[in-house]
Amino acid sequence: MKMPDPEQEILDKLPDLTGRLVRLLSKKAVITSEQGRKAFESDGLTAYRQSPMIVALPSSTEEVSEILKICNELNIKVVPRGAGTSLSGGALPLADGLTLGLSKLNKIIDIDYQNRSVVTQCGVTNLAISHAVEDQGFYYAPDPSSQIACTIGGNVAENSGGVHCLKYGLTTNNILGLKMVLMNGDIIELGGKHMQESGYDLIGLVTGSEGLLGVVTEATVRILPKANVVKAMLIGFDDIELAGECVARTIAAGIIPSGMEMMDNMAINAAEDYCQPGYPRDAEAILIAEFDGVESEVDYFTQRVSELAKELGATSISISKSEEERNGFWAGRKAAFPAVGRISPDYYCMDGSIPRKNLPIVLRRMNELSKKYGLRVANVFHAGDGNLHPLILYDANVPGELERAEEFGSDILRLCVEVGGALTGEHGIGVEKRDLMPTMFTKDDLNQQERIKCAFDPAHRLNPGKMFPELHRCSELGKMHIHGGKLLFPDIPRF
Amino acid sequence: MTDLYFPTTEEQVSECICDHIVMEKSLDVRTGGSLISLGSPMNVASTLSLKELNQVKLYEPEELVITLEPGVLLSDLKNLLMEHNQELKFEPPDLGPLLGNDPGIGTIGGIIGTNLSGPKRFLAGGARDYILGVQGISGFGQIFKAGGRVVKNVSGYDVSKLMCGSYGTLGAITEMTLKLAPKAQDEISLKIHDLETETAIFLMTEIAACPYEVSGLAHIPGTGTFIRIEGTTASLDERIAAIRGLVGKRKVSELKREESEDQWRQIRDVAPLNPPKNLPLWKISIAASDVLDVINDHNPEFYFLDWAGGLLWMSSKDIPTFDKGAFWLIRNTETPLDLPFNKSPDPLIRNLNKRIKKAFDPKNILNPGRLGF
Repeated sequence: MKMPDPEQEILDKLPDLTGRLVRLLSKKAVITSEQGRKAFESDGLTAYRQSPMIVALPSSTEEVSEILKICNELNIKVVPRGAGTSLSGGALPLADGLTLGLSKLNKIIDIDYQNRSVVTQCGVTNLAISHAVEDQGFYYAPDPSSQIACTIGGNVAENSGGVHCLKYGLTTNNILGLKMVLMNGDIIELGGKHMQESGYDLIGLVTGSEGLLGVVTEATVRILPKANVVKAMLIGFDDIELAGECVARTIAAGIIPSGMEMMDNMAINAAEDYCQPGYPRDAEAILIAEFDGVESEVDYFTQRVSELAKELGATSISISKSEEERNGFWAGRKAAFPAVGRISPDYYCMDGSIPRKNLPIVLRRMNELSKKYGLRVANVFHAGDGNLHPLILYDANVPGELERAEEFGSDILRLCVEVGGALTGEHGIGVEKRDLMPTMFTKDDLNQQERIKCAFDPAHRLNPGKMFPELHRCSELGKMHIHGGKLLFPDIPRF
Repeated sequence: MTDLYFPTTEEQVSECICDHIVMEKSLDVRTGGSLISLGSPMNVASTLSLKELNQVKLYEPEELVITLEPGVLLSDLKNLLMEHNQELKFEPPDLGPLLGNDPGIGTIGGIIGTNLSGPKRFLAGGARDYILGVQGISGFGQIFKAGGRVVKNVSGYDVSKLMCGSYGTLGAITEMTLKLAPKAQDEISLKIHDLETETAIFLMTEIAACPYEVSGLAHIPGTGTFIRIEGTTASLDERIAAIRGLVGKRKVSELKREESEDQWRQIRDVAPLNPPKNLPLWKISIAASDVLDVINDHNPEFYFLDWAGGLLWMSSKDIPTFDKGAFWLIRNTETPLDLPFNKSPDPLIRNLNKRIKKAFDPKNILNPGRLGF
């Protein structure tokens, strides 16, 4: 993966930049030593590493604004970073860039039960929001699996999902307001505790923009009352396509579980070896479906899904009778990634999205690809909403295996797009899938997206090298060419 | 007299826009036009109507998605979805009668263009939460698409949300994909008589904070406070009993399915403030905790509350004033008063809006000025 070439002009400005940042923050909040910078060299996509030129750790929105003003003036590239759990390399540093670590903005500002909302700084972890409101019976719904570590700022940047977004939506459906700093240092406040804003939906645009449009420093999130009753089902099948069919029939019957997950045989056995959740080892696939609400409704739905599963010849069906048992069903799913990590020196987690009905064909083709590349693949799948997480097993110490794993992963994502899906369901494009963007979008589509970037950051200083396979000059992107009374669409020159 | 264009293909839409770019002439971009009175006045050369683009391109009930052109009538769409026991969960309103038009002529393009959402907004989100993908023609004359047709998709910027509520100022939408929901098995509503507005707001807030997934909370002064519950028939009794416990000894009547549906249709379509009272009608989105102050400050002659207190519909000659929140002028008086269409944003945000407009429509030919910038 090629990142933009370091610009000598920027590297030359380092002493000036360092001096100004130290005066603004303090020596401790500016990291310049090789060892200190190395701590930031990678995020959750550990195959890529690059030490940043310098790291700044602001403590307030105002400090973020001052830092961006300085960087804007000196033309320094900026890579925002939350907890660094991105799985797509969204926080991968640049050799000529400042990494803006936002972990010190870690305070919850306001808990407002009357308006069912929480105002929080961007460095607060996803789970800490739920913890802060749980004694009043509330929680924050989006639950990415890294929720113990990932920050709400990172969630906004990536529009993170999670197991329960089938019923409660992604981050974008749970954000009411944002405070953000633009590249020129302007601080803007979008939305608030009200539900609809006038003007363009900037909150919707910024959520999922991967740190390319601005630096979000505060978010107002929607909190929900916790359901009275939660029950999970564990259903085994001896054929993975039947498990897929069970998901399809459930949804077609008008039943939307709060979460519906699938694991294949390799993932089941890895989980059993790792933490013994009691999954049927001989099953080709298991489904974990969860329902929440009032008891009568939860019972009705679990009953209906049991019937559907029986009709399809499920080999085992259990409905949780206690919290302990419910947590047990989830234990293996939640530990799936480390469990797979135990059976292979390395694994590469993919994140494609497909129309549910195409699951059988995608699984079949993925098996063929697995044979072609000589690499095993375990499947963990947000089945209810068609979001695949194939885990490709490889050994980075074997020359060429990482490259093969990446090629295999790219083929899987191309396959997702081919069957009507998307390159990424919840992890983001980042650097990882950047070069695959043209498989999903035309040149015109991407030019239009880049023009949006230009409206926020015309010099491409914020997180360059992410999301877009090529960068173009904003002045060229904005031009129209009319010749002889006709509108021409010429190629737009790159940098 | 303006020229009228009724393209029947996406290519014709593109051609029409390209011609206007070359001529530097502006276009009134609309679908059926029943919502065209929403927005600041425009001075345009021609009208581009998308109503002839009216095909359902793909409907996959088992995937809960539909891809359709903007001109599909809402009434037709609802009937189609009903065949599969599905619906648009954001309850698109029919504001036709309120705006002096016939009922049933609204299109999905109009709803998405203006981001109009019904009573479930506080529970299930608005129009902007159900749009998965769009395709359209920008002010560059080029076809662009964004998003897709799967529920989970974070590939690139969420341009679909940006288009939703852009009032045709960023492009002419030629195709969109929406997320659908299964229709609830049953519904029932409670009507509480004689609550003071302050008490009603308090009660609505309290009920919204309870885990019974109440899908409608509205207060119409002089008529009643309404609480809607939808879901499996098996669960309604349990939830109604729990909510009755919160309501206490107040006078309550129960509205069965048909009566309940009719009541919420009226709330959705703003029927309590129709026919016109010859006063400007405002839609105000505000935190429920601030809504009483707005009511007291303006002392409107007619008003009602939806979205669990987060939406205020008010007939008032004054321009609404408050700090946080948004408003829209939905209907002016017969002899129009000089009033703004929406709350003027902070100058920095206004500039950002302008730059986004320019990123889609550099010559400012698509609905110029309709959003006030």
